[in-house]
Amino acid sequence: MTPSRDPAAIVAHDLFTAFGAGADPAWQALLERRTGFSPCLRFRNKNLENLYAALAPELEKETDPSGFFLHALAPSILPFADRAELFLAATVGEIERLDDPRDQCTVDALLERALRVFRMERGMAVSAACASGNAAVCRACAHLAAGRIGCAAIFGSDYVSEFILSGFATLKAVSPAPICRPYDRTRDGLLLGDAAGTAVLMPRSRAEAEGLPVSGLVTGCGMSCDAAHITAPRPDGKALACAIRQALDRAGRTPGDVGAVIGHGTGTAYNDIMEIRALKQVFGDSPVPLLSVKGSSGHTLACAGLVQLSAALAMLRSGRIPPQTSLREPEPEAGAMLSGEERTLKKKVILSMNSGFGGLNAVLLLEAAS
Amino acid sequence: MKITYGWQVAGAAKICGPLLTSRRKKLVLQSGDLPGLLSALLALPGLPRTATEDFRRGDSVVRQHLLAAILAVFDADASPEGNTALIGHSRSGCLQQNRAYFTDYFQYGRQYGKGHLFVGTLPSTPVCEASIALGFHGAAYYLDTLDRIGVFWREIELLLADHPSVLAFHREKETLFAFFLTPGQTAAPEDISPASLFDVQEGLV
Repeated sequence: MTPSRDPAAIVAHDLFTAFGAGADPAWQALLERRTGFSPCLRFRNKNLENLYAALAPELEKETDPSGFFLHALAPSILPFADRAELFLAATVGEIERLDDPRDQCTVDALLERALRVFRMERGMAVSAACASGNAAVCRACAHLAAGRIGCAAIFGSDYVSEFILSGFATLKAVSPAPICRPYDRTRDGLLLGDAAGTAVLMPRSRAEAEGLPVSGLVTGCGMSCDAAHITAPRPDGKALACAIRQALDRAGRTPGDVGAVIGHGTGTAYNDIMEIRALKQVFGDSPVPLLSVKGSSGHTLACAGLVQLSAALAMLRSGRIPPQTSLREPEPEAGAMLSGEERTLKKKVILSMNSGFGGLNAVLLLEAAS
Repeated sequence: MKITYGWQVAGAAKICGPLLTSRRKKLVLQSGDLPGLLSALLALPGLPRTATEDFRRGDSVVRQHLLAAILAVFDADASPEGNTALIGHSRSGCLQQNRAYFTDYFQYGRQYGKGHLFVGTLPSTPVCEASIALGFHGAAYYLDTLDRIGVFWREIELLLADHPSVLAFHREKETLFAFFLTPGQTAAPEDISPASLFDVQEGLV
């Protein structure tokens, strides 16, 4: 695969998490090892009140969380509405519309609504479980690289609904504690989080011609499927390793070029070890710095890839790798990949990985613009 | 510069109710239920080995995907396993499955959901089940284009730039189509419906 001479430039992005509006509060929380978890009281269901999640206070009395997120992040997309195509990252979509008499699929409903709010005419929903965020970026980059479109707007959001929380609790994937410990030997499950994120991409040449500020580049993408189990990842991480290699190849990069990896890092036993094994296949005995943002802002499902993208851009800008939130005893197989202390980003190339139910993997390679 | 990728239908299958048919080999399988259709399918001589041990794990939509996927691959004389991409397309997503999970959850007093029902609430689940059955390791996801079928065909063209073949599903109402597509010389007709593509004489597309 020949690397693209005109990679996708990120010309706008925004984020809303449990820490508030904008990318900076979530970044500061990462640097300070702060967590956003509180008891799930929003459902008035005693069976779920002993569980924790990273809940945005703004959503506590909000009857229309999907609408709230769409309108909150619209300002980052609206300037490009006349020329961009929407790539909506979705898991279950607008789940609060489940009883809608229009009898409409909740993903379909969210896509239609997003196009209305963003005043856009064209778009598609990309649904790849918890890999949807990175998958939507991958597909947007494919359309840009082929010249199908000149500008792509990616939007992803999910919030902690009773539907989602009860489902993950049923699968015994949720930590009973108010702490999520990604890549820790004592990790005992994920904690969910509210979030919405955006990214606007266009070919770097076009961004430069328009004089737009470029906060980073997506230089490589890779997608794969484990084809192993519907809920558990393939233990050896082979399919994820394949997606990582795809992303590196497409960027014309080698493992030695990568300065850090933002993993999916849910804090579940199977996901985290699978990722570490995949990284060891690609990076060999050279430990690459590894980080998960989910110990801080929780697992934000369809938005996970965009939360990671936002963190990656902050890392590229600042040259800092935040400490791993809530790390106590690093998973032994990870060796020196992990640290509870802040590190320096020595190479301005970052790998961001998502994995989801069904063994879906989507990987991005992000680089500084200059 | 715009790049145009072409594709061709190497094989296809359609399932509607108890009827499973293939496009190229003109196979017609019928049974009273989906497990019966699976038995009839597995009895076909020369059918490659597939992992259908967990056929009963999914709901009827998942089972339809498995049946159509296996027959489409057989219709194309293709081999399971490899870097084939999978893509699902519809507007109905997983509405029935979402309601099934949440209704059951409420019926049991909002205490316990059922794991297998929850897994089915993702629109990507049928595609993933097909990948497991066939051992396909390429990109896999579900796409909603608000019924713009040309967008779906173009998405397949783009996938074929990175994959040797694509197994594409399109579902509308009770009918599911599975197309096994490989790179071809001509661009896909923008507005051809899946039903027309399935019925059109082999060799035209």
